[in-house]
Amino acid sequence: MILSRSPTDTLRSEGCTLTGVLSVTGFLKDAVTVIHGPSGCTHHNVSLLHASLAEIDEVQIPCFLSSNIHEEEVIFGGEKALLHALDAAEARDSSLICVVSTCIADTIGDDIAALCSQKRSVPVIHIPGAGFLGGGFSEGIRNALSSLLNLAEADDMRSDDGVLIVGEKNLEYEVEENFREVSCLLSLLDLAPGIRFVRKASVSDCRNIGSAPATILRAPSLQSVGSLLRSRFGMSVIPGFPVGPDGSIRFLEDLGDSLGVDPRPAIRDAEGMVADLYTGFDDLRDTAIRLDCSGADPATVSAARSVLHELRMKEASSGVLLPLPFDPPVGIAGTRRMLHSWRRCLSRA
Amino acid sequence: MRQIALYGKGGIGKSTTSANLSAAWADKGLDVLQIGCDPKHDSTRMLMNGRVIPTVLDLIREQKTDLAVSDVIYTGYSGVRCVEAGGPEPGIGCAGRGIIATFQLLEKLGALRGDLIVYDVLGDVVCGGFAMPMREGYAEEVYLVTSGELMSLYAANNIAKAISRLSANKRSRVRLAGVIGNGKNIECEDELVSEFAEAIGSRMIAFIPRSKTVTQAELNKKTVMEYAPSSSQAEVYRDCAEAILLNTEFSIPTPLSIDDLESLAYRYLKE
Repeated sequence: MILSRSPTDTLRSEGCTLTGVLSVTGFLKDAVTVIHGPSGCTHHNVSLLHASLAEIDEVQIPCFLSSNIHEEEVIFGGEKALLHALDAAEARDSSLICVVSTCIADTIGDDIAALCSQKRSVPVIHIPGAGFLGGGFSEGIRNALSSLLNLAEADDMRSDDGVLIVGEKNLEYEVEENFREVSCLLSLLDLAPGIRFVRKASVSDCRNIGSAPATILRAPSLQSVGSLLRSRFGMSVIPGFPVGPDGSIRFLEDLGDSLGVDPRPAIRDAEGMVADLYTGFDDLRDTAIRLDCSGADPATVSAARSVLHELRMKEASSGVLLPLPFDPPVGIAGTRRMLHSWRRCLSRA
Repeated sequence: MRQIALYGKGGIGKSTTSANLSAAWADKGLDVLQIGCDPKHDSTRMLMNGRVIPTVLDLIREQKTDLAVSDVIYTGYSGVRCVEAGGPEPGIGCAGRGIIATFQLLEKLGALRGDLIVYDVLGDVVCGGFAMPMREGYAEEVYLVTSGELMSLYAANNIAKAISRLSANKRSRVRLAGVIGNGKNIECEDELVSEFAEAIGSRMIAFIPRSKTVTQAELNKKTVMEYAPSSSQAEVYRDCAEAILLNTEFSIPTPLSIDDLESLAYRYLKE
């Protein structure tokens, strides 16, 4: 399929499908990922992940192998090279091999799915990663999560399992802070987070995801993965992490409703936390500001405006320019971090 | 040096025509290099008396480095130098990229020389690799080989589209040099091919009638020029070879729409 395009595509922030896939499979603790393509695709992505992980003080680089195809494989087919890489991956004594295709592998038409279905001592999963087919980083995340769902066993229901967390942004600076905030909100409902699919999870964890009573998607862009979970396991799906204080209240309502838990006590607690939050930033009241909305997620802008309203801050052309976080602020804690950054800006002005 | 490419639908008789033209030119004392650009790699087989020569891509795959001209070029009938590009096994890899790799190697070896270079190219596939012989520095004259069958004309028209497209590049010197009719015993076939040629802004250089001599020559693993040099069929090839040598009328084609092409073919079939 040829998609319409424009020169502005060169400025897209959505990145490559392959990178999106690797940002998931690289965080399976006991899996090896084979990238079927030229070694440059692997090198480039390892460099990118290394740099991104260093930013969040993580030094462990995921295990990626390249099938290292050259012109010879492009002309005569790269399936032998992939088989060789699969043998090497199998020898690493992992619990799973993820095989990700690249642009050139899909262009020459290697039958990767067929090779992955051959019997081996370790399960092998094929994940489409060719960026030229459209989509981008998020498409890669969806492809990876959807493919890894095939590991799950449907008949392993346990009522005491925690809530499944799906699609955390492993390269996000505040990934652990956001997880803690969701855990905190869950605790208000006497719930606990369960398997993190996929963040530092094991392959056996992935097999057990069907036992969770409900799932929380990191972002609404993962709705297709949520639909698979719903249809396959009958799971309740919350479509995204809570955004801002208002989103936190709605999150508690939705989760309580879907699990048959009375959310009112939790909501009262959360409202108290929100009130404390605004009290803590009382010094920002009535200040004149401008929001730097360029390229911002609409959900971020909406959450920020809601906070401005609560604190009676005024948007004015002469106001101090305030930054918005790249991702929408998660819950009350995320909003607190945003307000801290605003306070720093205002104090410097 | 003249570089000539023959394009046409698979099985239409490109290789037979190319080999006999190369043989005719070689008989005149010209230094001819014929390059088969088809994964089927049988373009030069009759020139080599039935021998299937190693393909450039096989050599790249097996030997990889330090290939010499003598590894890839084989001398056949009347001194015609023969090369086969080759290709991957059916159903895997990218044959188009194989053609590009072959050309790069021949360039590197300095093998593209002689009075005439003949590129025998599969015309059904229209990816960039199979257009390589038409790119800058290679064939400047393209001859379309076609019968009066609709699918053959369709393929020829498609190649005309490729020539037209490539001609839009200011640096490109590729032109349509003519149409060679290769008969399949269809009534008024020469008239149909001739009208098609004119409709796309070119002309029919020669019409090669169907002949048992061709089959007999091939069964004896020879070109017609070698097997039956005094036959009328050999004379047809000689005339065609001469017409190409004398040809100076090159054009940018105006391909037909599918409707116009079908109307043309239908008119002849109906009559």
